[in-house]
Amino acid sequence: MRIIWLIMRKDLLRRWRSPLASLVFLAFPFVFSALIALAFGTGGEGRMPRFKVALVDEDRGFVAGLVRGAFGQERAAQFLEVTETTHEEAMQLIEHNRVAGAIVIPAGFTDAVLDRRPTELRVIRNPAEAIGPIAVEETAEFLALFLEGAASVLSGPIERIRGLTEEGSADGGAGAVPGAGTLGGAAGQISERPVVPAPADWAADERVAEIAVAVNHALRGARDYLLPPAIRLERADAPGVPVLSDTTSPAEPAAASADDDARFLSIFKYVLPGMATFALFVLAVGLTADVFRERRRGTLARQLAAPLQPQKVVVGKMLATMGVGLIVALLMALIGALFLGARANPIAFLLLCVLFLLALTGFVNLLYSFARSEQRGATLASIVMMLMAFLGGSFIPLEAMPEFVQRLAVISLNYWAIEGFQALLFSGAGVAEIARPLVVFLAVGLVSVLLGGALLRGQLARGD
Amino acid sequence: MLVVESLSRSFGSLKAVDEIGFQVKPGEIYGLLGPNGAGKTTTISCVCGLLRPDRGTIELDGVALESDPIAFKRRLGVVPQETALYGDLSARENLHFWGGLAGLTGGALRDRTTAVLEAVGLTERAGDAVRKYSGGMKRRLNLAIGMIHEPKLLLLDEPTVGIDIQARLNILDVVREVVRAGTIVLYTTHYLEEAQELCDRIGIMDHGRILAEGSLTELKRMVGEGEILTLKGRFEPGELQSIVAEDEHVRVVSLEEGQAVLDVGKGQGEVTGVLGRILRKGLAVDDISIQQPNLQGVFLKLTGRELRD
Repeated sequence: MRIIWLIMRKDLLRRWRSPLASLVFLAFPFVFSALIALAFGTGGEGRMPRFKVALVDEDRGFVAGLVRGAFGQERAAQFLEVTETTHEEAMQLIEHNRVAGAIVIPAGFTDAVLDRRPTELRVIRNPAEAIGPIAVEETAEFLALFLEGAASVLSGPIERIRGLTEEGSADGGAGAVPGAGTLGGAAGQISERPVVPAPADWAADERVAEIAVAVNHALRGARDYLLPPAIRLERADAPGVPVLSDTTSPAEPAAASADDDARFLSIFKYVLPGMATFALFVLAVGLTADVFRERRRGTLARQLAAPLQPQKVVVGKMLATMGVGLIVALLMALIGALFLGARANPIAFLLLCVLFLLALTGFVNLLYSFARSEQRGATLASIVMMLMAFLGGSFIPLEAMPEFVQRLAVISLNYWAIEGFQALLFSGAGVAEIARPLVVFLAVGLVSVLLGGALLRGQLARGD
Repeated sequence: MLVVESLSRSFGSLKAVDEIGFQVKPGEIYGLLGPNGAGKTTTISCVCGLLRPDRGTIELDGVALESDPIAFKRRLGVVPQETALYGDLSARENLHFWGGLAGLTGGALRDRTTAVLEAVGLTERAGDAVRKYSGGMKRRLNLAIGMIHEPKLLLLDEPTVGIDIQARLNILDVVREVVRAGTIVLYTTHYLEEAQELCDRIGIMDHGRILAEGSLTELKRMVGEGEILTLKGRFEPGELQSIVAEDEHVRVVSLEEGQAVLDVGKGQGEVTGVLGRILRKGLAVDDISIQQPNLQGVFLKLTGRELRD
């Protein structure tokens, strides 16, 4: 142990004396996560992936029709693929991971909006997905805000619309609000087309035109208003679906906020584990290449000529890499806790970090041991690193990827790390909940260390 | 005592070391002398356990490297050709690390660190980062690391390459001091003067084999009292051969187009006579050198080429 400690201490001391590289690894995930969050979170030019969402209309009223119509608009369709379904089917879709979440328009929603009584839109999130549920929530928040505004500003026209719908209902039967109007996705405008299609026997064209004019006037005057919330957004996780991540705890009361900063932080938090995982990978690749630098300078040969077992040199260097990685991970966690409010079980977090770094350094070490030169090793490691990052969801959320890629993700160390970190940071998971990633990392770490040791012995015997 | 027997090591089809053997007693400096590629570093690498020989045995004080490498290496100090140091660390930190690997701890490590820093004249700069050192200072620290744990056997692989004369003299002085304490030194170099000045016995290596071995006096005796005449010019080997063929005082060491090495027998003025006969025959000779009996002469006689070719 003394020899391993000496080698580890020496490498840590060298890192301490030349800290620039390690600091870059520390800054890397924050910079990239911030850029991604800026692009997706606060009106940047970047595009979110298209998310699947189930829509359950238990109301079947006029306002519910507006909501359904809103999802058909071009801008909404860029981001969301909506499936209208029943509550039971929606839960099945979530359970089979086919949608990021469901928006439920409860019975009586239309009446409540038109009466300007408090009501709620329900969002059921798929806990097995990371970013998709955020998109669903954001959409529902937007709808809630828009409908609140519409209900206040259009109180006059709404009364008349109500008269029409009630007449229609009387003529056409309960819930017969055919078609419903269409919403302009972003501007919150009602289109020039009739809000309610007007069968000849419903009402005179003049009355519809009169209402449309009133709507336009009211909207024009209300563009700059901020209105007190009247529609509450209720969030919940789908029960019985394994938790990968979520934005808030299931019991947490809804606190809908469309505030840009909040959205920025929210996406930042989701992107950060993936980026941090990737940064640790880059760090491991960079530091493991030190073996080749030591070989070039002759210090590796000198160590191997000392009275020690060669494996101890490898283990000492691995532990030093793990040490630097652990410091970087802990600093990232500290920054996350201070600025993002991220909280995690400290023992589980530490355990996950240590085992992930064990697997990572062992694996990278193994990759390098196949290479005859630093350049070849770096090339091989970089290719594998990028592949694992893409497969594992470091750059693009897995749910936005094709199904076969999602199935392949389990071969990526990043996948398991992201799963573990997200569960710790956002779901309050403990050691038991992240047992799968822990076992995977331990197995990969041990196998790669043993294989790497065997390869090293072979190389030394050949004099490579 | 270091005993190397029948040592062989190949890289593919290249026989880097071919059945060599030698013995070095305590307090003796054994020099392996040869041009680049002669097999010196491969021999050193085998002796320090970095390369596994294809054949042969290496023993130090009865401990075989093959059977007990840790015990063997505990008695071994290595000063490699490269300045194998950590530039980010100070000289003291380097010594603590390498001394620790060699098995020193606590007070013994601190004492030896102080002693070797003093020996190589680096005490005042001991706290500075090594990357700020000159080439000569790095070489001296390189040597200090090799001897920090007072090894029984010190391997020095071209320890004075690329440094100024003052640093070289300092290193040679330190090596002599170490030997006086009874250490076995195995020294490789391609500096003839260094080998002549320092080594008790010398093994001349070329193409993986030890061509001759002995003290400087013994090696000179091999050459005899004659001189080595080297001619360079625009002549055919046959032309020269026909001139010297019947001269009983001349032995052709090597002969190729444009270059000839001749071992001219004893007797002052013999070389002048031979040279006169060659020039009178009109041979186009551009360059003439006459080598007195020394290691260079031994090497030329044994291999037919200059040590630095």
